[in-house]
Amino acid sequence: MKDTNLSKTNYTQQSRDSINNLTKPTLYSIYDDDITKTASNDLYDTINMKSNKNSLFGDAPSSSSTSLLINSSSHNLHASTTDQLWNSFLKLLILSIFGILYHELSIQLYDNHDLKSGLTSKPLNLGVTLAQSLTLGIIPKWVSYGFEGIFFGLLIPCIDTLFHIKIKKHTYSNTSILKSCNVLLGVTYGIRKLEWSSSLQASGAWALLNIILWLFFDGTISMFLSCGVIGICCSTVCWILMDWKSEFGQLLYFVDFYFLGLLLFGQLGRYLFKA
Amino acid sequence: MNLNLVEFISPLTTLCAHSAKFSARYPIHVILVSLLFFAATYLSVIQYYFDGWKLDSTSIFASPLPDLDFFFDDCTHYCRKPYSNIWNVLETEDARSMISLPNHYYLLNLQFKTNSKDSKSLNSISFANDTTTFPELNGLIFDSNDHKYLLQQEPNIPFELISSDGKKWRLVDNGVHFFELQHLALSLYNNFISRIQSSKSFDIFIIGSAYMMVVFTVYKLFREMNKIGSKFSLSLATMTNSACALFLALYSTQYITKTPVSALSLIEGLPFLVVTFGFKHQVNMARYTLGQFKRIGLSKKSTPERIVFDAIKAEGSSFIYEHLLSIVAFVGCTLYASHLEALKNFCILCSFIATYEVLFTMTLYSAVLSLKLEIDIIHRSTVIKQALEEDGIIPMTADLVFGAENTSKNSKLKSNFAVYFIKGALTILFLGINLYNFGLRWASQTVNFFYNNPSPVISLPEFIQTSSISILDETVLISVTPVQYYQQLNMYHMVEDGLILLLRYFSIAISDRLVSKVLIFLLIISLATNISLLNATRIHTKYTAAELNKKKTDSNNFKSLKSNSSNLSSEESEEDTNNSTSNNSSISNSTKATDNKIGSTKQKKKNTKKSGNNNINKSDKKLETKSITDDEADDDYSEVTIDNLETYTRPLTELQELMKSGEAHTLKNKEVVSLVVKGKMPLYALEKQLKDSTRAVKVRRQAISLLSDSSVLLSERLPYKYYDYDRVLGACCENVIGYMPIPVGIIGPLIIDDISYHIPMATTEGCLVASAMRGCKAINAGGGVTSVLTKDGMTRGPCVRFPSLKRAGACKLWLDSEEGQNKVKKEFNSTSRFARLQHIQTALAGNLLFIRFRTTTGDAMGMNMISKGVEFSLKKMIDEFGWDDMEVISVSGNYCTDKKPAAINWIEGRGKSIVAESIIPKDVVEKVLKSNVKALVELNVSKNLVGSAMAGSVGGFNAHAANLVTAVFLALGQDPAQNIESSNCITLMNETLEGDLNISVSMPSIEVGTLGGGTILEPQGSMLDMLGVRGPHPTNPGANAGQLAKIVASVVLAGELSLCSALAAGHLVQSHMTHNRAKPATAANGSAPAPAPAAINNEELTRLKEGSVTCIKS
Repeated sequence: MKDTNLSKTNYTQQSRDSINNLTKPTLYSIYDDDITKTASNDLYDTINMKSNKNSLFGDAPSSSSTSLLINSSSHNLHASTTDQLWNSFLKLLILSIFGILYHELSIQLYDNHDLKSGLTSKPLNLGVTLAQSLTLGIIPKWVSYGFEGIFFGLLIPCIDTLFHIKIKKHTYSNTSILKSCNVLLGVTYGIRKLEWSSSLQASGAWALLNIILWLFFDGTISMFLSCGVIGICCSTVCWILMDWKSEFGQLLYFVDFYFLGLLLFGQLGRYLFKA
Repeated sequence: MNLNLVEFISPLTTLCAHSAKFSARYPIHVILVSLLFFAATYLSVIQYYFDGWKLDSTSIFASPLPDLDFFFDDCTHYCRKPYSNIWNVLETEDARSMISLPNHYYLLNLQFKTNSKDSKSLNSISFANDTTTFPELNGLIFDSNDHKYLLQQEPNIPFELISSDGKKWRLVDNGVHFFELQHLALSLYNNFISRIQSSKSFDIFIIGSAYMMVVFTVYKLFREMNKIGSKFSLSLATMTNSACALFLALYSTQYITKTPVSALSLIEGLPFLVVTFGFKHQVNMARYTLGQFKRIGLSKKSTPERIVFDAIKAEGSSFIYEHLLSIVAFVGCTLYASHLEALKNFCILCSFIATYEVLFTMTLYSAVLSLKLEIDIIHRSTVIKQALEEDGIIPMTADLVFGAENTSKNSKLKSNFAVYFIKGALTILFLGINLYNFGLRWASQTVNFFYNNPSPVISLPEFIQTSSISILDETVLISVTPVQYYQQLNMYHMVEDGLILLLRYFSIAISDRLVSKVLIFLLIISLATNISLLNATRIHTKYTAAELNKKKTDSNNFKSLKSNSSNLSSEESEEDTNNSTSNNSSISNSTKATDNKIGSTKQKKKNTKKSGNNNINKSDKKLETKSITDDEADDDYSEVTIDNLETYTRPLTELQELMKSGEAHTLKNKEVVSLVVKGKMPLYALEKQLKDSTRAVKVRRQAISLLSDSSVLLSERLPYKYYDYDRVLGACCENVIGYMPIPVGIIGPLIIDDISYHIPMATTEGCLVASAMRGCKAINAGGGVTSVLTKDGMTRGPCVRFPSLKRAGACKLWLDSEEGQNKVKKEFNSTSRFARLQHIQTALAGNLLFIRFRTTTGDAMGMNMISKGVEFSLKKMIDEFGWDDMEVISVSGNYCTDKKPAAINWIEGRGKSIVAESIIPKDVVEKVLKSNVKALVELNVSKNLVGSAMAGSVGGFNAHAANLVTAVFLALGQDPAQNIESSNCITLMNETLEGDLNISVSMPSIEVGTLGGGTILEPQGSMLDMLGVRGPHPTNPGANAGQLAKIVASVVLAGELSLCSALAAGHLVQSHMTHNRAKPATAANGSAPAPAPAAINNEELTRLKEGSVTCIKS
């Protein structure tokens, strides 16, 4: 320890001598004190921030840590407030479009038994009714569906932020969103087209599939809990709305549909706002 | 929180990785077996779905083996009950039950077509007219010009007919091709429309979306693979991999589990599966594999199978995890919904697909990756070797090089052509096999099969319905066949006949019991040859890779052998008395003679006391220790002088004799030093004589220290150990005594044309790296550097002399003329694959003519390459172009101009001419650079433009470009002397309309190379690797060097920006004030110490200020 202190002292002494004897390079005298502090991590932060921004419509960066090359944009990386606003608007617009499409899907979901067309859209319609009553009926219905999309899309990122949940950024890419959409459409097609023995059978199969899909696409506990809670809430609300008369199969459909829906929106939200 | 199940399957991943490693080791075997499986399952599956290769039955008689069942199915059956006059149409099944009736007839409708040259129809075939003579037919019951009806109990019509005028008529396939295509398109369209109309729109939307996603997924696969360096092969391999899995799964469901999946289920379900599985993991594996390849050098011992193994370990976990999950889901669904047959069967199929996908990826795909890697390595090693040879690293005679280049040029052309030819041939073969198997009309059958369209109903001809046949008392069944067309024999038929005969001959020949065995034998031979060829090329690759390190390995081996032998012999002499059965006696015996030769004044100090067994490891350890001790003793020069050196060595004459007999490497260091200092062995020959570069360096240091009477080189102040001198010799330096370490700093990330770089700088000037780093920060915040390569051409300007000015002038005019330029270009270009002469510039001074050749040099800096070309061109000018009185004064006449300040480089450019610019936002200039835009612009004009103009500068319109250029050059193995012209730079700054700063640097003569010179040394090469520009560019020669020049210019931009900002901000004064305030010093991690000492007296401060000002002024 003593030696270390001694060496430090010597070093300082040498430095001083260096300056006093003007052996210190000329450049030092031109720059300010902070010149040697430039190599901080904010350089990487700037680049990463812009990379994420550019990946709005592109893929997430490669998971390979060995690559030294980081793709980025040739555009002005100095993000102005206008740019940020425009990007946020675009992201919200995407969520709104997904919200409207999700509502359409809910209308088209039915099976050959108890699940009638439009039944699964009841919770969404409830939200629309609420929104219209709050705005005195000013906003049209499709806008409300858009807002619901935004709500679903922002829910998971907000939970992540609130509970400081760390996610694997490379998990979320436009490919994973595409796959989720594909699965949602596939399941809907299967429910509509297959000759199920009962609604309970179909919804039970879907419920089991949902767990696999969650493991397949995400695997985070926060997502599972959020999707599950939303699914159960929707189911409960519908049960109440339908005067406690619903079949269990029907109720399970609500859980399934909103579980998978939120899985999609959760991924989309994390992709847009987190990854 | 993540549920990380991927880790649980790591043992399975390891197992799969081993399987992939095995496949990668034997790629051809694995690919062949996999494709055989694929072919077998493909044929079985296709046969299943297309109902036994069902061909167009309407031309059934054209086939040598007509299938009457199919023919019967295509007929329209009419039945007339007893005592009835009404013909009823029967279903095929009903008709089949009545086929045994005695009154069952086939009504064959024959139509005759002729070739009409003046036909206005799109095709050249029209139906016969009245003047045509038709053949006579038996059993004719009705004849209407070109329509003839035959009534037969067994359908049998001849394949060829001859009319009375001698014309031949041939039974042809149904209709004309054009009409059939039209019909196919129409039927497809109609079926599609009817399907859409009968389906719900949302279902159509879902299926349509799924197919669009499939298209996007495939597109993305090709795009991603293209990005990572495989335009076609790996994408195709990935799709083949999935196709193999699909067909094997279909085969399994059809023939093993007996749960076939209907075509409709496949059409509806497969797109969802394709999108869900996707090709992401295969792309990641390919990216990892090819990325590893890009990073490994030839000197590394990374094999393709090892890389593939690593790729599976790194990227395979999630792939296996996802597929396992899928299998669980599908198996679960199969059990859960077992009564839903369609769903159950589809789930079984999917679980098979997932399983086989994993299997094939670990075998077939891994093998393809390995093969791709092998090919790339072979290609790269060859390219590097050739390029190094061209750059003069490996000495070869000009003729040999010239010959090799011509050969390689041709072979490259051939190989490219061959690759495209093979690709094209394979595609055509694949299509051909399918078309041949299905017949050209398969598609309409397929469509009919999928959409279950009934065969068109053929109406009963009028003459039957209206015939006055009396009412019969028996049931009559008439099967009306589709129209059978006859056509006049023409050239097309003859060609077709020839082809069919040929094919038939081949098929008969192939099926012959002897020929088939020979073919199989030949196939095996071919396979074995392919494998041998691959192994041979692998040996070539290993050889090339080992070549660079060969000398080193040899010398090391020799050193260890020598060490072992000397010690073993001493030990042996001891042990021979006790126990002569030594495990390593053979080694000792072989080396004993050598030891005897060199005499045994040595190694008697220590004797091991361990008796009995001769444990090699133990003895090795002992010997190592001893060897080191001996070396240390040998290195002790404390009392050695030139005069008393002989007292430590054997007599000089004896040493000379040993040296002459080539045994200098067996001498002790002091003995070699003795030879050197006595002038018996030249210093430059040490490496050759000692056969060990590092030892040669060490001996040279010892010799020099004695000769110069200085002990500096005996110490290790100038390091020499741990360096690969084999790469230095003959390429980088001579008379080597060590290496000079220079601190290397790094700046970055700096975004240059969308790509982020970390750039090394070797410098001893403090603050330079930090300064450039600040510039990077500001540039990145503004969006990075945009750079343009405006010119690329290295120059060499020889000086030639003519007897008279007239001749010199004539030569100049000839060289300036198109003819002269073209002739010289042709000769020049013939000397290298990369050197392409761009322009010849001439200047006359008296009877001296200066010719400035400008040429591309690929990725090499190119002075060697261009010199070779210039010499050859001048020789040709003298020998062949009529300038035999031309005298070459010098190959370099300083008109190049190399490593000297010259306006010609500044004006005309030399090497790479780069312009780089960046926009720095106003607030960044203020916050990061702590300056302002206006001040910067003003400073730039005053200092860099006016100031330099006042100084009469040439190319020096910058603040400190040479600082950055030299630092980067040193770190990246460039020629530091070329910083003179490479630092030519004009820095311009403007204020944009938005108030931002537009800064640019224009550097017309950056001379860099990524090949040869200092870049072949490992440290410098590794830095180039870090930038991703080492060696020759695989596809675009010169691209790596061009990119490096852009990087240099960008670093200069960063440095200029930073320094000018600091000057403009007036930090000079601030800095002095800081010194004055006397802050306590802080220094962390070797960064520059803070400038404030604890106490500085006034006298010191005054001196500091004056000195600083002096420095700045200078």
